[in-house]
Amino acid sequence: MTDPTTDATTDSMTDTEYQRQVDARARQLLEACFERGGHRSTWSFHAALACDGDAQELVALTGRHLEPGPFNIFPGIVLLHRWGERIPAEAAANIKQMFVGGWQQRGNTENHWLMYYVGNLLAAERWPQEKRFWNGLPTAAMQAEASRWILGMIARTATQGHYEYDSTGYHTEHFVPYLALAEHAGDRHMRHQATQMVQLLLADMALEYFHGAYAGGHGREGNVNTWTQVGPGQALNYLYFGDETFAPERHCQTYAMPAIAAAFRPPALLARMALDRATPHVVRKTKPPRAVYRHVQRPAEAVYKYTWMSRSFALGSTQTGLPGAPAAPIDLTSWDLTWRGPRHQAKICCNHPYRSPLRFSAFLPDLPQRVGRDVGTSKPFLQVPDRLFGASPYEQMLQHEGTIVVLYDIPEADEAPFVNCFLPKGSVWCEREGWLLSDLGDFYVGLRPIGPYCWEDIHEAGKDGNWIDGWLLRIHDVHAGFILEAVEGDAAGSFDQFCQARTTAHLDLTGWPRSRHVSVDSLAGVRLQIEFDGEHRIDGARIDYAAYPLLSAPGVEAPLGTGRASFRHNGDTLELDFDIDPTAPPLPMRVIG
Amino acid sequence: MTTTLDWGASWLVGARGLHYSAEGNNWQAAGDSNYPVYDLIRQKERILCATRWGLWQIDGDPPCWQQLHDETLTEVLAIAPVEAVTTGDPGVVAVSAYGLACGRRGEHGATLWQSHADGLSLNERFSSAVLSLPKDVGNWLVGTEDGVLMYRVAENRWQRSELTGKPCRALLYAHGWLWAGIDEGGVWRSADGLSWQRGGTGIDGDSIFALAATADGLLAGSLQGICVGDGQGRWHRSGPGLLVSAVAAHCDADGPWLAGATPGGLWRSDDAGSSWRQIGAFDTVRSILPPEETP
Repeated sequence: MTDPTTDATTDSMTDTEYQRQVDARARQLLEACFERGGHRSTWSFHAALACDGDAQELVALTGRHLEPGPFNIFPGIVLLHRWGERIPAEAAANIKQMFVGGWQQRGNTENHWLMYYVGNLLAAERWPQEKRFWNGLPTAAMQAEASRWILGMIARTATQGHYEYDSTGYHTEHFVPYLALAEHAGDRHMRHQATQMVQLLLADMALEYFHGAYAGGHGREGNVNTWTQVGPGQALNYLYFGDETFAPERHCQTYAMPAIAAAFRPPALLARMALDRATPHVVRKTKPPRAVYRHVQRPAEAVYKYTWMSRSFALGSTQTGLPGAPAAPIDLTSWDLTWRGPRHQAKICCNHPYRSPLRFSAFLPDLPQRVGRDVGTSKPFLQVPDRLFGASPYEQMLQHEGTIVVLYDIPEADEAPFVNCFLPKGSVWCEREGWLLSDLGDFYVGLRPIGPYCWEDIHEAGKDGNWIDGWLLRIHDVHAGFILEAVEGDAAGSFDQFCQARTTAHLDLTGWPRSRHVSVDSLAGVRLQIEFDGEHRIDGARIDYAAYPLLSAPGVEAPLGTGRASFRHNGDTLELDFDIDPTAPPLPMRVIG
Repeated sequence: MTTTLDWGASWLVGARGLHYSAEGNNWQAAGDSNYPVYDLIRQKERILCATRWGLWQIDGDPPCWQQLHDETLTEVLAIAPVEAVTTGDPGVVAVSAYGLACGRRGEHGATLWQSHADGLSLNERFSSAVLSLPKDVGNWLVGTEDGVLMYRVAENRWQRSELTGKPCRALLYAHGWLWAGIDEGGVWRSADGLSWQRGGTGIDGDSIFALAATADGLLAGSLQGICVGDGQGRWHRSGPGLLVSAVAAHCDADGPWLAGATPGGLWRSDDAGSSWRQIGAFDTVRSILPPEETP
């Protein structure tokens, strides 16, 4: 008899069979969460209720939120909707109190507002008879406000892309609220739009899914970007894609429990797309501009992502569209190479650890004189010189398939006139002609630092063992750069042949930095030419990033601005149509992230 | 001890939540909110409170908070009363990280807001202060990250003043002049809001975050502390070295002065700035309103 949780998702698998697998994995996750005692929060109490735990434990859990923020507002009301009469009356009263007598905080990021408005919409629909809501207005007023914002953000996402995009930390906090709406909203149109959003967000994940990791650039990732599997999304990955060995300590993620306990089952084709790595392919995505408040002369431009999904590795990069210093989102991860392996052992990335107090006040309303200390005191890792994540206004890059060129033009007076490169300690490196090369088993990688570097190590203690552990190559040059090529072993021959080919292939650094130009050939003979602040060319042809669609990959069509997307795989089709009115003005953007 | 709340006769402080005091020494919270309060205005029988999460109206005893913002108004840094309240008008304009917004009453008693930031750069949009022009009702002086701008409501048109290029953090009308506090630019004064001249000497490069009128002069909150002057002669420094984000003086000439810091709490002087003492259990204070002048 086969294990229903670990059966391979095959090309021929029916939706019925796929749903049986997801049912089994959901049950496995809920039971493991409960057995581990992970159910003791309003997010994860679904596990207790699904496993016949003591429902009375919820009374204490719901009695703590006198000034609830988005992470309190949302999960309580979802428990009520999902489990109804199973919720003890006193706990239900505590949850209701948040909505009729609390002091709710709306926060300032997209995931905050989504949880806030979804929570309030579901509460307003549940208690329409309440004369006044917590905010002193009639319940209907909150219902209308929440509906406007949610539907407005759905329209923005469907036409311009997801704002707080592809976040290993926060994608789940988008997926789960929309899923709650899809299952519990009273309004039929809201349920329909939310259901489509759930599928769109899952498709976003599926297109860059790589053995439990979310490959490619991330709008928000933070100080765990040397980890292979990161954040609450691990639970969704396992639940919906299921190609990993079950690891309760990673997969029983609190913030994903409402989805794990939900009835929703996606079409099998999204899982099949996620797992289909038979043919290396390019994924392109467009995301909206970053919401910069001030300190720059022009608004940010759209974000364009490019990810090469190969059989043994994924290489992703981002045209961040940032308008220059000091606009540099703190959590953004612009590029990395990821492959299958344990934490710290299967990532390569580099970063300029840009520092400036204005970097915070560009996205926050606080006084520039105070905000650096305010944020830095509570999050000191945002200021450390060894930092490997967070956007730099002085970084630009060009990628073609498994080859990437990353260049920096850092002002001489910058507080951090250098670039940090992370290499795993578990790989064996050799040096030839300025290239560092490694045989990573199924594939080879060659990287060429531009500028003098010194080989250091990096180890930062943190929760779950350690935040970071590996080699740190510090390139001491304001015009640092980094060229990397990853190639499947079967395409490159022996490792020696790879090394020979990579070190002798065309590389022209004579134009850097004086004429701001670098060119390099991939092993396949394709020429990448990048001019800093100028054009990007592949074999002489200029790349038109503005022509990127919302999403593109084999079997995926999603033109920008239409609100329509279609996904085809092995004869199955998923069509999304958000029925966007192209003449309607977009909802004003009022969140950061 | 709980006292009966008289909004008009009370000192009000915007910190973590709204706080009031009859005499300016003993403070009580007006409700359980811990919202970061950025600005306060007092209107007939109500207080309007600009907070990080939006705009609120507070009235009654015990204080009752009601939401005035919508899904487009947040990070409200300053507010100003609308003098001539028209039908459907909430009686206030607001400025935020997203610029100037005017409201109108919508369905179910909610207020819907319309941003007026078209054509502005990001720095011109980000606004920290707003003032109704006393001699030109219906037009607004706005302190932005790029200096002082004027918004002409009837024409829906922005006009740049002479005072541009640096952030304006505070605006005030007092002693017949318009005053602006500039970040790294000191204090300036103007008769019409468009032409500006230095308002006193000695703090030309200081960062000014707050302005208030005393009976015969001005208080300025700066990065280095409190400054006292008359807006023409030399400013002199007073009190502790703090980032002073709020200042206020009692309308009586011999009444107390209060100053709020970010951080550093609330400070009081009863001798026109000769000495200051810390009062209340505050950490960060961003707005202070003195009691109303009694007729």
